[in-house]
Amino acid sequence: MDLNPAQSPPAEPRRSTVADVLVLVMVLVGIFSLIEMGRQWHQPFQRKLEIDMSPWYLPYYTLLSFSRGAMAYGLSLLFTLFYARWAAYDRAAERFLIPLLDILQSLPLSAFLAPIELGLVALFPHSEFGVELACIIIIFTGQVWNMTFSFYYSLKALPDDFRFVSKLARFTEWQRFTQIEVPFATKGLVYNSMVSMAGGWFFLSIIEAFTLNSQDYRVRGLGSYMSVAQATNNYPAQIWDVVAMLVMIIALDQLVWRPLLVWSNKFKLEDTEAQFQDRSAVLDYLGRSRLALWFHERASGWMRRPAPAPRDVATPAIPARKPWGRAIPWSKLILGLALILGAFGFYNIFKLLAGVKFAEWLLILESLGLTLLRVLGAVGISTLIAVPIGIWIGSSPRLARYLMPVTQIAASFPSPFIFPNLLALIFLVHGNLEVGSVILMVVGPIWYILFNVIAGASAVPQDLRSCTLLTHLTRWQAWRTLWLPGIFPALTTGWITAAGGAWNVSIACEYIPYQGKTLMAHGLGAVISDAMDKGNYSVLAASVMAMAVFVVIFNRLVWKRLSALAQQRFQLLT
Amino acid sequence: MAAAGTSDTPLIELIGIDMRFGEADGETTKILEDINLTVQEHDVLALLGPSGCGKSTIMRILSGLIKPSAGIVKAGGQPLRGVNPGVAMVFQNFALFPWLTVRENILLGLENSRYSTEEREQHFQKIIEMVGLDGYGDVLPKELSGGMKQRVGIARALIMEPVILCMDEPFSALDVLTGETLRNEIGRIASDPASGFKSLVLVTHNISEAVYLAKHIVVLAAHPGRVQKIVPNTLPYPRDPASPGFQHLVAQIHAMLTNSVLHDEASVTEPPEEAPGLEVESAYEPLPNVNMGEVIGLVQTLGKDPESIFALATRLRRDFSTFLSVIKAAELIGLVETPGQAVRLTTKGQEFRAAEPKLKKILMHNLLLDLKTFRHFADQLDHAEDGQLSEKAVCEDLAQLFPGERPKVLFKTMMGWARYAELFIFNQREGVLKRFTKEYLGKPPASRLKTGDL
Repeated sequence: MDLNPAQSPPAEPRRSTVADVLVLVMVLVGIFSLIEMGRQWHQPFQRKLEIDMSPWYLPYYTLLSFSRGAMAYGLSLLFTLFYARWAAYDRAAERFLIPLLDILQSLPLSAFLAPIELGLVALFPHSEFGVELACIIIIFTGQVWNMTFSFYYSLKALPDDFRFVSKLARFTEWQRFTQIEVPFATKGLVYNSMVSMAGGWFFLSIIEAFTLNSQDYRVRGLGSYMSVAQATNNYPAQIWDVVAMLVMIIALDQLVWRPLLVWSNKFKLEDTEAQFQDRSAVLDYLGRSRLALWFHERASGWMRRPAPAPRDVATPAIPARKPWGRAIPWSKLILGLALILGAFGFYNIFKLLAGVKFAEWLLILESLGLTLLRVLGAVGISTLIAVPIGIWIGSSPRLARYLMPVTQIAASFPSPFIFPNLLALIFLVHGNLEVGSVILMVVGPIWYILFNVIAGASAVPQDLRSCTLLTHLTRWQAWRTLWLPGIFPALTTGWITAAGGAWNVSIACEYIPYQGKTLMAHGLGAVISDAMDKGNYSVLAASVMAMAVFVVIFNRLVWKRLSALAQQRFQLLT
Repeated sequence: MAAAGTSDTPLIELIGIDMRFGEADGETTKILEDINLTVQEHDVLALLGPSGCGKSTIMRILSGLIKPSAGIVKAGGQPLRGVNPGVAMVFQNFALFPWLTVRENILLGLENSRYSTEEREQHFQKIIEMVGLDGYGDVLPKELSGGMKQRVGIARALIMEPVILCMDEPFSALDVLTGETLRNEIGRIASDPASGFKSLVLVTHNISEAVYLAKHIVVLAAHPGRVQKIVPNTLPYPRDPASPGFQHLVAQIHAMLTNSVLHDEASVTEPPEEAPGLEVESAYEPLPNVNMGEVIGLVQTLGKDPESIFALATRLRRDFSTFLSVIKAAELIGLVETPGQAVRLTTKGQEFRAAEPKLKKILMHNLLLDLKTFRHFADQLDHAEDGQLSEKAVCEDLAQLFPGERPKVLFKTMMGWARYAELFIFNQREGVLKRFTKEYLGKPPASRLKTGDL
């Protein structure tokens, strides 16, 4: 505002038509993608998918990829709301549901691509539906777990007072859900949704370009476009595709997640002001849109619709012994069903495993060791690079404010997209896939370490920093006494995420289609990919099982313990 | 002061210090204005003032942790570059490293000293005895109570043998009794030649703490922070808070703060010699950052007979300088008047006190509209085409009216008052200010209310 406000007429509240149009466009895009998905599904199953390499098709492919991600996210949200509430309120089920969630979260999902794909295509053999559904399910499984955990922890942390208020006010279950539980959990849920979407693109890039046993399970989208571009050495197309991916990620970040993140700050329970306020220009903009306001009012009216009058006002509404009991018959049913399915699955898997030869078991074990070394090496290299940079950025609030969103966007970019290009660079420098795959493993997961370290470093109290200055510690001493211990809890969180990511990447980085050939490194990821391609289902099952079991155990024995130690010894809030 | 030292060069000199801090949107706020201070050898200096007077900032400037926007800092006669090597600091919230034991935390102070291992050990033993932490060496800070944690903080500072020991509100994170004990010990340590440091600089908002410990009390005024007066304190050590001399000095400083905060020139008992705080009254009174609830609470406790502000603050267990802001707000609104060091209800205040809750709101509505700031925005709203103002426009307006203040804080205070008085409402979602109407339930106002329509 360049006018002198003291003399000028009061500023006009800027109701903006452009903002209205933007909202409308966003709604239309959503509807259009839904319709288009439906249309796609009813096409007969094409064994050979034609991908049009004209860059003009890219917006359309971006839209398809986006709608897959969005649908998977919708599914994740529904699953989260249901599963987390069930786990939080049903004591008996909780003991089973939470460990299950923990295991599902730590499983290297990309090892399961083939089974999920094959299963769903077999269920719907005569249409695109199976392939599309497989895509969405895969992305969903990449997104959902941390969201569910976040909502579950929020429900568990809900102060009792709120529960008492809801009882005294005789809230219905719906009111309690919309007015207490969801607001309380919103902040965590929004943040985790952002992280989930980021993880989702990784799987999207793989599954859209999925071929198995020389059969074509690809679907039109950014992932398949890239695979064709790489197979045909079409460099302009590769660049266009990367641009399209970046545009989609940045647009989502700016148009959806940033505004949501800022908006979710109003659900913070504590009254303290944030050190630096998150801001979103888009949110300010939407606030001025009449259409958005109208929509907001409708939606909040629906959420807050009054409770039906209690049937019997005279008797005080003393709830039954189990206030959340209505979910329980369902829980038993579903538990039972899951057990039956699980048993059936196990039977099949064991039948498969019986066909694995001893030499093959040895190969799997040896490969497991090699891949473990790669994962640890990648985490180690990432740490060496990300920790100094992260501390440097995090110790300056200004840098952190500008670079934190950049690292989050970078973490969203699916690294397998550019593996062949990176590989070309590695070969240029002189190297082979055995070592080069470690570098490929660094590219994605390093960002998780970086942004956790930034977050940790920016939480180091100013007084402790002053103290290192006043006691004249040298730079290295200050690092040793303050910065490294100070960021350690955040670093362990980063390690867990990064290691999980690295295991997932191993499937893609130890086995790469490169200039017409397929390059293989020795490792479990390569064994899995190779078995998938050759249709050797026994070895596939064995290696997938081996990786899953090992990763879960390693998680429990190493990462979780490290994290617990970090929380206990190096927590800054005393 | 009679310096027992060898030279007359002050340990630290602050000359014409200005400090500005940047807000998020590029605007800067002046925190300190023209601060001139010297710390001599064997001095105990207390920086005393209400919140927002920048006393902690002064301490960080003289320790070299932050650079002033303007002015010169001299240490031992030389311009200070970087961190002041002779300063050790005790922090309000202890600033202990949670992963280091008590011993490691304390020895951090000697990390880069020339001492040998045995010498360090000797120093450590001496200091740990001095602060009463014997036997706690291998304990982690989280196992200690607040008082013990602060002893660790003090030990870490003392072991550095600083020229100047800086203490930033060292007792205010502790409960009253612990704070009292620790304060007595600091008094003892400060007069103990074995403690090593030459001078002590203490930041506090507690007047008797300052009088108990300090040889010079620097009384600061806020918005922007500036030195109001430096009061010498020649009472002999150890000081007795019950003695008449002690209490007289406490009362004197109370009066000084009261006058500075309430702008009550007529009743100044001892007019400050250099008082840049008493500026020409501006047409628009800045609103003290006070809750309306506190103002109303104050009115409820008062009668029409004057009551001593100091006694009242003690009775209500309020921090004196914060309490002064509440009185200032009540006086601004016209509910109380402050003859001398006392406060009493005005006729309007008595009327307000006796009124029913509903009538209270109407009375407050009218009282606030008598204030220029509220009148100003009410007029603007009534002339606005759609009857609303954006938060940004209001804040820019406030920044123009009150250059020394933080517009966002003012805005919050103003909205708090106006909401109680049903004068304006602020729609957070749209970020706009509107006149209050009874029909307001998410709809735009159907008609505008004139003054007194309520």
